[in-house]
Amino acid sequence: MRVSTQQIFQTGLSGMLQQQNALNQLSQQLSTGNALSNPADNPTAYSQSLNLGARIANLQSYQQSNQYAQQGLQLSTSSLQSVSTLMNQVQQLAVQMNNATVNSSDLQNAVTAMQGNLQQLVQLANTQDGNGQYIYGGSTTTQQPFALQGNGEVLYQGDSSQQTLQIGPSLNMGVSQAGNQVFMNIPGGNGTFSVTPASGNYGAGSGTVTLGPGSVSNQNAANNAFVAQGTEYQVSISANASGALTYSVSSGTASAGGSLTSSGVVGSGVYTPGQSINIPGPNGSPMASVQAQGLPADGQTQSFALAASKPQSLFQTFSDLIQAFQNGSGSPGANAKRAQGISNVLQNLSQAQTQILSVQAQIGSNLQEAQSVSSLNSSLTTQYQTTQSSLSDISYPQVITQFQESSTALQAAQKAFVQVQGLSLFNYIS
Amino acid sequence: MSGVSGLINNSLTGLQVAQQALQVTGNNIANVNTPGYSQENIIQSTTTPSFLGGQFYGNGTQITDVQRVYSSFLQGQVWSASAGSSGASTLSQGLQQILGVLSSGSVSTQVQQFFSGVAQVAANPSDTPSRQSLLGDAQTLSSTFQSLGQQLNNIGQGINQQMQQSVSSINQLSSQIAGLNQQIANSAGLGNGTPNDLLDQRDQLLTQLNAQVGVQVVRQNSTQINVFLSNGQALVAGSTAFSLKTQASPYNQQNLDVAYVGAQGSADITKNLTGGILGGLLQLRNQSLQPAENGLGLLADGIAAQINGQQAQGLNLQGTSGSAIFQTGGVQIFANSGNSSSGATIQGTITNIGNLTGSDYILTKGASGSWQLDNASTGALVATTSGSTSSGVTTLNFASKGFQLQVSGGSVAEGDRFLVEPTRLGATGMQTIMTDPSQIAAASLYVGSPGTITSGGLVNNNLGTMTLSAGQFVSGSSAGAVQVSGVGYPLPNLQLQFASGASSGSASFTISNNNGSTLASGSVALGSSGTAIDIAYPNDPPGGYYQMVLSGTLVGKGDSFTLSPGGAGSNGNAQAMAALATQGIFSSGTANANQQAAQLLSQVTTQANQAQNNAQAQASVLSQAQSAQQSYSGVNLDQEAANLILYQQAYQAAAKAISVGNTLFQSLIQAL
Repeated sequence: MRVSTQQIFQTGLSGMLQQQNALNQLSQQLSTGNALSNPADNPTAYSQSLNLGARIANLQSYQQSNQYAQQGLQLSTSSLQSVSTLMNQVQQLAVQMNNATVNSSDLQNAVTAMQGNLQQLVQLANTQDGNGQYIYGGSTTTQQPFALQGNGEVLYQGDSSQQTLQIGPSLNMGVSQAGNQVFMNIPGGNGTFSVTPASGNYGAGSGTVTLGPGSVSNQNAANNAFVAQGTEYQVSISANASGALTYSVSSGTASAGGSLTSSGVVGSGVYTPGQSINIPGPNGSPMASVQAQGLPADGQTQSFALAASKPQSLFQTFSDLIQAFQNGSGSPGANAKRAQGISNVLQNLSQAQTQILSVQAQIGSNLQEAQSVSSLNSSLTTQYQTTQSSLSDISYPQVITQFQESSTALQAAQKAFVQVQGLSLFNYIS
Repeated sequence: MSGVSGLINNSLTGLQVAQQALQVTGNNIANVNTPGYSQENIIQSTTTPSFLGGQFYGNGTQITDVQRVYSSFLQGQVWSASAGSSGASTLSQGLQQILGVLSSGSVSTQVQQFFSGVAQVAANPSDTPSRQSLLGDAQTLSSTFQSLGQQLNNIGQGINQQMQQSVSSINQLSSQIAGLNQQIANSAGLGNGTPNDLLDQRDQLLTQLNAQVGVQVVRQNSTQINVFLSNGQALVAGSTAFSLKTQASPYNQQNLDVAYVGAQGSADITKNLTGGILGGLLQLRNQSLQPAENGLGLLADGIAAQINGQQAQGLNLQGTSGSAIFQTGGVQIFANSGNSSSGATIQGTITNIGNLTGSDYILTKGASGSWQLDNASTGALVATTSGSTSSGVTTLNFASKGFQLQVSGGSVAEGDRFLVEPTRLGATGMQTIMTDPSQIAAASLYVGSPGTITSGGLVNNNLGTMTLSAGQFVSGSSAGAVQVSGVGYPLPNLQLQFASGASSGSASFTISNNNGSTLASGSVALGSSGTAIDIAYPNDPPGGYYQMVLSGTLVGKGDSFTLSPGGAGSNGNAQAMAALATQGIFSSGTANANQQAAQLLSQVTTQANQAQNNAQAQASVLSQAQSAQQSYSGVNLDQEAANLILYQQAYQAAAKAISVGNTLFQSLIQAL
């Protein structure tokens, strides 16, 4: 085929330009390590890499929340651990003081110790995180949620708000605990009713009857009677002048003043110390029982009110214990009063322990879940990143080889160009 | 003539022809690099012989023609390949620019960074530095969108400028071609020869014209050509050239269209232009740049709408509803400059991001108050509606496309048209309008806690087991829900209280405000899934309800719950905002922000790849056409060198023959 001179020149030139372009692209790839420096070269790989990038971004967003969640949960765990330790100490002290041989200076020391414990508990409940936010205040995180009043009562100024974080697709995890759920809303008494001794029970020369926390045998009936109907029961244990022991159970509806407005005897019998006294439900069959200990003084009636249990705060339980210790010692009546107080406190402490243990268990399982989700997410991220890098990273041996090939080809093209340009018939015409 | 004088005369013609042939060869050598030059050859023939004494004697030689080596077929291929190649390479270069803007602009990174800031606020809702840093992230996000939108807009302006240049080149080329037509016609009368150089020049101009815009070349006769645009309108007819001009688009005055200037005024032919730089630019603008701008705007609009919507659902640190964090450019609407009415104002609002697409629409007022919406690029009918009118404002709701339009301030004449670009300004107009970090609404509207507020503290004496769930936003109240309305900012504490106890059946309750007046009452079936308490938002948007669910099995007399506004530590709303990062908010809820960004980018990348491949293919088609044409018509210097030797020798031989004639003549003279 005939070739024009311009064509020879153009062909040689465009060959060199092409090789230079290839070299330029390869050297760009070598210097950046990125095979997709011009995304238009490989749109499929680029769009796969973008999609993977979007997935990695999602996972990272979950991972970040997960990290915050774990931090929050760990802080709660460690502060609740301290609360548990404190409660164990208090329980030991209460058991120790529930003893007829305890003297008044022992009790005084115990009161001082308990006042310290109460302050420590308030401090624990006002735990702050690294940013100075109170972790047990619900949505009140900028001011102390628990305020110790002059009268020893503790006010909760927060609410029930719980912080949640999304750590996976439709996986919302609670990462904080509202203070009222941990410290305030602890079921009182046995969870259904609580026992309150009448105020005149333990005067001078009185007997030693105490009533245990009781247990519920028919939960539905008890719920209905105590909570829904608001019925209260009064258990009275009496000894006549000759020491004959009887008990009676009467029921009624509490008035605003606290005394039973309409009273009717629903059960009675001979009392033996240590006896379980049945509390009959509205239909007459037993729904609960309470165990009574001790003897009333001759001619005395010692009575106890059984009412639906209100939530009892841990602070109140601590204060109750201080109150019980302050009831003094010496006389059998005082000892019995203390014993009754301590019995109630021990019951409440056990409820509190159950509550805090269940909160801790919840936190623990959340933490475990967060950790396993986190490790799953991070291995997924690694997997996506590996795929992404296989799409977008160059293979150095391959690119270096291509670079050398292109560079050889360019040299060859240049040499060929020079030689072809030198071939002219004019060289031989003189 | 005969004898010696015949020898001399014949040799003389040989001498002259050799000279002229050397002249043509010299011309070929001189024009070896002239673009469009076709090599010229001489056509040599004998002259008419003399009849003497019964014999024919040759009378030497002559040049009958100086011919250019030319194939109209090969030239035609160069023309069409030139239109294809320059169009494809313009498109590919433009797409590389768009891709460069979008891929280096790292929208995805900024979106990720923003949501990571939200997650941080969700984890530390009352921490001011976290809030401050979220606002910083929002600022970076909006300025990234703004700058990307601006850069795309600049590409659009660049297209306008290039269109002007291209149209002015086209006009210049067509008038030059018309001029050459005239010159060629004039010189055609001068003899047998053809004006090769003028023809070459005209062919070269046609190659240049095809590089600007695809045209059809029709040969009228042996000398004249006519040039038509692809829609059949003549650019050059004989010695007359017609011109194109750029004019502002009838809708958006910022965009240029191309019009044909004819005898009866100018007509818009933008849609009919293909090929060449102009065709490539128009294709780039309609098929790549505007969709990219709309796509980026959609992304910006979507993120802004979702974040602002979530803001409105929560409470800020001041205890009022969160104000908008972002502002975007809004729906852009242009009236056609040919509309017969001009009084009405049309405004658009985006109503549903999930239904919104990156398309533009043409709104046409039809007969008897109806309106028609067509897709601007495909022309397909989207919807017809007559809208709903109240107090002079007609609302046209195109819910299936995610926006609505409001026509006010006058009537619109039948046949008037409007261009609606729902997302075009989304990115360029994006701004972070929040400056106070305490305005970020991290908190839930209400928190339900068991108990009542007594002397500043929450006291819980509830006997029963009822619980009040954490709340969430619902757009509509569900059946059987207890609705609480009439609460305003600052939100009051609400008190939910059971009047009497119950352990079976249902329990009734009242909800009152802090003044003790009852706002709502209802009952809950014990042991059921509960009763929803729907508190109407005082603000619209969001305009729905904040829903909490009351459930449980046992109620004591006087059991109560306090509903208090979410405090500084509440993260309910921030957490919902953080969840938007992974939530499908685009394309009917199938794509989240990151996926949408990836989708936009991969769409542009695919286009760029196609354009790049096409440009390479077209370039090689052009190069083949050129080399076929060159191989036929181009000058080869070796060939010319050989010709030089050939004609030089012919010249020398003819000269020698004259010299021989001279010697013969001398001999004859001397013999006398």
